[in-house]
Amino acid sequence: MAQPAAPRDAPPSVPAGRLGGRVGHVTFWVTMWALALVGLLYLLLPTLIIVVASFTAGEYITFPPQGLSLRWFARLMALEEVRVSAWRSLIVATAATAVAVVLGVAAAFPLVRGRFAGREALNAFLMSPLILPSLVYGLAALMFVSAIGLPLSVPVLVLSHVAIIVPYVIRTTAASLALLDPHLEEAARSLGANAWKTFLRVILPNLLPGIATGAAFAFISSFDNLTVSLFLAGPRVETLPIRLFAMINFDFDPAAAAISAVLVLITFAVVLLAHWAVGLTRVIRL
Amino acid sequence: MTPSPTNARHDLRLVDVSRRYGPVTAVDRVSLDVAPGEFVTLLGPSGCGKTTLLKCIAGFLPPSEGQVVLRDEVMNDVLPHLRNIGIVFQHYALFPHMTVADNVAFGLRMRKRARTAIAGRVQEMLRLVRLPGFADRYPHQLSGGQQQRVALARVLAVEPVLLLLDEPFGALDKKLRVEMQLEVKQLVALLGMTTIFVTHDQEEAMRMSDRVAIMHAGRIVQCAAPEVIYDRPCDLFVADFIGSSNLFDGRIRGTSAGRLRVEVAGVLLEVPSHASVRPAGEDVVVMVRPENLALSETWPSDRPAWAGVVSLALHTGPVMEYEVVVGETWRLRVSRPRMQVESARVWAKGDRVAVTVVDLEAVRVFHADIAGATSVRAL
Repeated sequence: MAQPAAPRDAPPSVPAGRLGGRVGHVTFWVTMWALALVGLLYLLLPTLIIVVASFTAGEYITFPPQGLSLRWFARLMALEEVRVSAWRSLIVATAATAVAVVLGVAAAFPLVRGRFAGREALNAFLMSPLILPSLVYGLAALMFVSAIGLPLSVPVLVLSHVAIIVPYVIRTTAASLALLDPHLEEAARSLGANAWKTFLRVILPNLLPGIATGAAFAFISSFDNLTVSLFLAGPRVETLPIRLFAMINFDFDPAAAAISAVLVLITFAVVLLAHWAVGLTRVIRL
Repeated sequence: MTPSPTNARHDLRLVDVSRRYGPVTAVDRVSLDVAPGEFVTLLGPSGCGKTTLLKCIAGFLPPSEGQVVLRDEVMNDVLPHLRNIGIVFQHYALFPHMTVADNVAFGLRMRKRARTAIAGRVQEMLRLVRLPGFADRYPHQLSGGQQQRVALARVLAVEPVLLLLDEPFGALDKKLRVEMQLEVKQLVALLGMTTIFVTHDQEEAMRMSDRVAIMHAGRIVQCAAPEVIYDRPCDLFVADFIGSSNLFDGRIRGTSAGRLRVEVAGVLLEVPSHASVRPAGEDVVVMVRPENLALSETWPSDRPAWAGVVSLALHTGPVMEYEVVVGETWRLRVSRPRMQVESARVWAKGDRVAVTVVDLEAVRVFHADIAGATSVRAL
């Protein structure tokens, strides 16, 4: 750090020291802000480009768009397979999230409060779908399902999504639970609440922010999952990401950009919903 | 609360309660009887087992051995929520998502009381803890002292058989802590509530309790009224743990008519013999409280005295604390109130003084060979 030179044998004068401190302070904040803005642009720009491109009036995806219109959104609405797959994706994501919340909240309890050998190992195992390549999981799940002779269907798809999204719920719920004063449980017990009432009346309400955040992540991960769905969706159980993938592959027109815009919109909506549900600070604190 | 209608002799009995964690014995064969309305404190350094014992009483930990008996009923296998024991925690453990009124009503709702009865009881409890008008606040909107009062109201609302206070004043600043101590003491006395209080703060324990149980290494070493604990500690650990004391190496020079003649730093003191008669020549440890030593300029004619030099003089407000060096190695701690009818003199470093024992009856003698002797300072 550039500090005004002071003779070695004499202590630096007070104003010089203060100036040095000020320079360090300013450079720190300028650096942090600059990096944050670069990161933000890097994340946002590609998304922004595809969303803007979807409003083109032309026949091809171009940037900048040639004229502005909603024609590709209108065309999207007219495509029945798009409507059907979008609806299916919503149903799958909702159902998978519901199951994941129940399983994830339950799993978080022994992971945080339990005292047993192998707790850390179990924790790592339950997080593994986040680490394991989802392509590998998709293949494994497909082999498993065909081995036990289940036909590919919406419920099978839902269950396969549950496996990959449940870690989000476990993670955020466990974080909330770890922050919760264990004495709350003891207080409730001593006041006459049995284990179930303690959970429903005291613990669960205090975990809601964590659960809602995890559920939002889980929903989004299911809603735009492609890799696992590719294996388990089957020919007649197409989801929106699969449809989008097919459109990009076969007829790369601005309707694909329009679907992307819709996906972005729904993702944002879910995040905003989570913010609204639990309050901005809770989501950020995660 | 009126005294128990069943006329139980004890609200709580602990019979040889032990609790082990693997090879570690946290609570070691503790027995304790608590009479209805009594205020008993478990006092000890951290790690002495007092919190573990409290959890055993509350039912959060099953004892490894022994019995927890509540009003003549063995509680070992009764789940915590069926014991009717109220607990106030150090950090209050108020339910953050509930209003003050809902917190206080919680125990009553769990007991399925009528809605109108609950509302009335909540108002009554909030008046009792001097927080009427706070019903609709949330815990985070209250100060520490107010949260503490809500925690009390919440517990007292269900009229527990036994009240457990787990270091409830630890999070409060000193002035507020003393206020809350008095308030809780009065409230508990008013309701005749049988109370077990856990703390590591001896002043707090002395101030509040009917009896203090001193715990050390999982055992109750002495259980008695505060003044007994202070004046007649049963062993060196208690003597050293409670208050401050001068612990001197001494030697018995003779016994006569229930009195011991003990030589301490070249001075012969005749003190009461309160334990088994000891043979002459035995090494002992002699305890003299700092306030039981007096300083004077002139040599007293009627009693033995040490000649010393004041080496430290500290103002603590009401009391002056001195360190007096006697001979080569002896350091005596002396505390004198600054306001006295006679000899209100304040001494300064370097003053030559005669040190005398105010009351020889309050001097205690301990065997030097017991385990607690390791805590004796080298003199």
